[in-house]
Amino acid sequence: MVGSVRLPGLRHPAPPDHMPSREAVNLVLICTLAVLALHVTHVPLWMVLAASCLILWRYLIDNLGWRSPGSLVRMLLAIAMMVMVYKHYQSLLGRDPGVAMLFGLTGLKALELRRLRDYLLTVFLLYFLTVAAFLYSQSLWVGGYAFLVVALTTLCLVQLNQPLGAPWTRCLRLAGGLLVKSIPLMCILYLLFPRIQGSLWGVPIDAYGVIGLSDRVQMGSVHGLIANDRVAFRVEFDGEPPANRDLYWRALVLEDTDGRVWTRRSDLDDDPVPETIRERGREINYSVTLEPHNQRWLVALELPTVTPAMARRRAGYIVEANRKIRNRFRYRVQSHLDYRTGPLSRDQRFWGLHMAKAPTPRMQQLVNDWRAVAKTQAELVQLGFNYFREEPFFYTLSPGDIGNNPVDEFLFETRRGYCEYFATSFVTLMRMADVPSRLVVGYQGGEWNPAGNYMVIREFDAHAWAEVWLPGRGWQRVDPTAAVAPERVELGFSVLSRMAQNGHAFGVLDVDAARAAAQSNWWQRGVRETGFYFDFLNNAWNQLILDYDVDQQREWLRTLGIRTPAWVVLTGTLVLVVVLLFLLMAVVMLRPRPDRDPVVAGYRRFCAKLAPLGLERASYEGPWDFARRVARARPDLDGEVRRITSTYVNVRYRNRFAALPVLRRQIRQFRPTRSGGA
Amino acid sequence: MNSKPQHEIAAEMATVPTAKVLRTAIDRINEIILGKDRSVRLALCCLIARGHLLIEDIPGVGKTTLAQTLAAVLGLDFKRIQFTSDLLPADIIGVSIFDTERNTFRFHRGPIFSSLLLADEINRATPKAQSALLEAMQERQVSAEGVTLPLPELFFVIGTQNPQHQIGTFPLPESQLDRFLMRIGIGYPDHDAERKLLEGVDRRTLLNSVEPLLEESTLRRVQRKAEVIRLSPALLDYIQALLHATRSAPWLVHGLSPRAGLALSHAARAWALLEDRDTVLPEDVQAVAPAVFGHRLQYTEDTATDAGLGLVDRLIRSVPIP
Amino acid sequence: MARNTTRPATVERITLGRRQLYMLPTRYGLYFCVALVAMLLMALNYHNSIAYLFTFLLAAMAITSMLYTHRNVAGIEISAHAQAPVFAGESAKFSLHTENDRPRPRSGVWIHCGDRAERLELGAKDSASVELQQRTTRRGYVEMDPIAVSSAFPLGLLCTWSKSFRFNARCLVYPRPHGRYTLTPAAAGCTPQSYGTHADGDDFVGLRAYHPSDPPRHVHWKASARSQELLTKRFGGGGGTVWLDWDRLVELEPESRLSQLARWVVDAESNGLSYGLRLPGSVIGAGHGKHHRHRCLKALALWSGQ
Repeated sequence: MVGSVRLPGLRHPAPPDHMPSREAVNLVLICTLAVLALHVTHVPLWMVLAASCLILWRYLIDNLGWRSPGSLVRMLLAIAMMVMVYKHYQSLLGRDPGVAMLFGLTGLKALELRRLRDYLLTVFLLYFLTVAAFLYSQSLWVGGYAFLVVALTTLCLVQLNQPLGAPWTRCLRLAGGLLVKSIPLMCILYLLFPRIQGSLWGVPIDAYGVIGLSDRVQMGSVHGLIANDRVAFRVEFDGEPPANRDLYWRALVLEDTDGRVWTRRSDLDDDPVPETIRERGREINYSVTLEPHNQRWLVALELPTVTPAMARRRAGYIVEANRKIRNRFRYRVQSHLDYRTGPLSRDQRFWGLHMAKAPTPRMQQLVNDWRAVAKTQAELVQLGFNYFREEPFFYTLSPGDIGNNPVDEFLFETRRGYCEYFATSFVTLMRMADVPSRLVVGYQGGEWNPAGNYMVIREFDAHAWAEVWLPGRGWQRVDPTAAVAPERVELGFSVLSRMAQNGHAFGVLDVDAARAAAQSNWWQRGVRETGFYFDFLNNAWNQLILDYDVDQQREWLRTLGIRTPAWVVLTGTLVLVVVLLFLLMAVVMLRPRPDRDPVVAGYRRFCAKLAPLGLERASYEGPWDFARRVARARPDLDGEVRRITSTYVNVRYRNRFAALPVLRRQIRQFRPTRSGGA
Repeated sequence: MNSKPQHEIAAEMATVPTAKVLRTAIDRINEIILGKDRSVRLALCCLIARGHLLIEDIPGVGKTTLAQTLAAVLGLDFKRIQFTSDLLPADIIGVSIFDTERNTFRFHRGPIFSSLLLADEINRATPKAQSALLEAMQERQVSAEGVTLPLPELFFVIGTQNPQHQIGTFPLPESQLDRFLMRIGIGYPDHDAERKLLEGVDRRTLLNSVEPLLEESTLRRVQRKAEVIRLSPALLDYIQALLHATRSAPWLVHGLSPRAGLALSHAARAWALLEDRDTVLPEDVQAVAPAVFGHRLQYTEDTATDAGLGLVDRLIRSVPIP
Repeated sequence: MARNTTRPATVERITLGRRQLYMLPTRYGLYFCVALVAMLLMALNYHNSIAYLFTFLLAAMAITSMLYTHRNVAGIEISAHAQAPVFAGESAKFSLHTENDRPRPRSGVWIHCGDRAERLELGAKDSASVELQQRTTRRGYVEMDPIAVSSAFPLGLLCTWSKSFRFNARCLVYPRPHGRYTLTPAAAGCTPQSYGTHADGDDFVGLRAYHPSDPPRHVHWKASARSQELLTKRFGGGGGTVWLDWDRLVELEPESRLSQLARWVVDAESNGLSYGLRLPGSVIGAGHGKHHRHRCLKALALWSGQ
């Protein structure tokens, strides 16, 4: 056995290393599996299999007496793993190959667990891998699971340090107590540790993927989002939320098209004309918490009138953040639902009438018919809208394939589709009729979460609609989808999907009937309502934990009165608070447990009052022995001490509990002077 | 000295409160055994707690006199056996003798059938004789030749022995020592007491003039009273802590049995009664502990010579009062 | 014997408190710090709030475990005592008595004595003893080596240790019982009438069945009458005394003489003889038994010239 451990420049007695107990060994293997489970979603399958096999191998070595591989075999395995990782990622550096390599190493390390050192290093590796899992997912679920894993790993660490293997209950209590008692310190560190703005080294591109709405729309492209129930953003309104049919969340305006694909204008960056809005009606103030999508657009109700901080207005009444949204982004906006916009610029007219290719004869015929009837542009738009309402168009989430000339085919042949189909066809028709118009994409509707009083808008709420410019009124929204399936706009997509579940077709029922058709049974309702609570938790998790960054820290510190959060000030505060908290914990944890028995506690106080006079009661001294000794040393105290001792003895040894208040009073009033009066 | 007839005094004492009875008895004994208040009290305490007493000291300090005085003052039926190497169990218990007239064996009761038996120099008898006595002490009955005879309800043994392990002695084994509730020493008298002894009358003649103060029923009353003295849970904790300390102290050969703990609680109750209290206090436990534990504990070799403190005192000092 | 004045004062009993205890990270604690720094860099670089949170949780845990480590050791009471005397060359045994008056168990406490370490597990409000052995070479008293206490409970990341304490426990070491002379009447001074012959003192030791050669006055008639066979009284003790005499071993070095005498004491005791010891300056009268043996051997152990 080694008697002590040598530290740089210091030699002191230290516990020698011991062999971990059998229970601890098995626990480490279980723990390893639990940690690796956090990574199975992004580590290559072969690596998952390899690591699992290695751990199984180790288990068989321990429990079935299989042979342990030599160091050469282990070395070869490590090299093979490294080569495989390199071939898979073309690199050994960076997040993904690094995590994959650590993943494999953990499995490999399981094979060579022998001394305490190996075990402890594995445990530290497991901690690291647990934290590394947050680079991939930061959801509440992963967080909760990771906390359990950390608790398990800590249990492992405690068990490893009990040479004989302590009872499970004790280890559990220890590990649990340790974690719980660490939480206050953790909070302090979390809140006050200075956050930095940039990165220490380049963040790989692969850290963020583009999610959600795309700025390229063609028939069928929103389709991918329909099955996606990921949250796009959440909204808290200052007052009452507007009706569902007014909830048009504007994200992008697409004006350019090649006949199939709609995109943003290429010359957007140097738009010279500020667009004006004459707002009418009441303003709506609300906060949006946007999930990261790695693009710059922000959503706002039509039309936004006050631009949020760290963002600017762009042409087409859209709002763009100053940088790409890579973290959850919370901003406040103001919108007016009723508005007029100003005159059309030359530029806008050009793009509003832009056509990619010549229309087909039957499309031209249709538009010519309308122009013959309509006297004004507004009537023309109305005719177009009526066309969609009166002709047999069907709203469906599964339209068939569409060929080379999509608008023509859709208008005259298939007539089945959803928002993009209607919106793009409508815009095309309007442009043919010389009405400046454009395609707007964003989200429509949302689901009210009664648990947290906010609105959740998911990816499947994505929507596309048309906007036309009418003289005197400016840009006006026209949503041809509402003509075909009013319930989509009135009730929102989630109701629509419930209708589909219940086997109803869209666009045939009026709004009330549609709402009735969307009625779910108690089970579905229960699931939905539980879902509200989960989303509420998720939202709280996001706002409290995930979104805490430099800005929030600064804001929080400002409320504390720290106005200049210089690095030094912050660090100093942090150290000070940590030390204070630690001392507080030390006082609480290390103080001797107070006597539960008030009698004993009272007598202790009495003795404590005599101790400064050099009359310290020995622990083995009986009460009367002590009283006599006190009387000998200080005859002036005799009477009082005798009285107190007598009461104490009566209460403690003769069970005269009624005298306890008397004892307390006597002890309280007992104030011996330092020098004897007599 | 009281000149009243014996039965009158005793009858008088039967009605007075226990405390006064005991105080009078102690005073009377102290008139004969000079300057040994503590030993006298312990001896009396032992009798009240229904235990047997072992007096260990060098010859000539008054072991026998103490026993005799106790017997005389308490009015007990007193017998004495001088233990020698050729003492046989029958000499203690009694012997069956063939009665030729009736043609049967008749059991002649030995000296053990008494209320207070003084077993002088108990360690000079062979183990066989010792165990006959000690068995009777434990069982409070005697088995001889197939007959079981109960001993009197009041039955005390006061054993005396010399401390030195001399040739030809048979030290009592630990298991036998355990049957004595207490072991006390007497020690040399202090200066004044010794002077008085030298000046005064021979103690033995003084002893002859002593008249009993109590009768058996009074003593029994006192004993019953001692049994109901209150022993609070706090003190039970203390006694347990003391026992536990003996079991874990490295300087002791072995720890104490639960019987020793029971003995301590009985003795402490009796002591509290002697102090005229209805409740046991830690001081009572500490007062009797050396006598009750002393002969049951043994220092590991060598430590005994180094320790300044008495063994039990050391033990008491190591256990805080809860 | 001159005492080394620079040696720290000995103690009888200590209670480990804040003043006696130190704390530093262990080797593994430093590894853990490296892991923490790596996690922190990861959190910093990716602006990952939850990675921060968990890193800080682990850091807070390490800090909190300081209190656990300290609490595990603080307040233990230790006292030390020597066990039975040993002969030179054997291991002296000391028992360390440890007490825990706190309501929670203490585990993984190590007691260091010399270059050895013993593990200690203490239950709540319990006490435990640890036996420490120490090599002996010379007779006399051997002082207990200083001891220190350490613990890395509960996580092994931090180690607390106490400064070393020297207890005033000393173990008596008898001289090694060794010598070429066996215990014979010639070698050891014997009173002529006793040694080797049938011992007949005048102390009664018991009864045995009658042998025809027994003198009639030794027959216990009273007992014989009761047991239907003749019983003879046996006497022993008093007469047969072996005197173990320093002066008879003139040809030996003093230490060898002591060893020789120790051997005789051991032999005499195991043969059930009565023996006495004569040393220059002290004489121990005849006797036998455990205590007598100890007295004699102690005198030999502590003998320091005329």
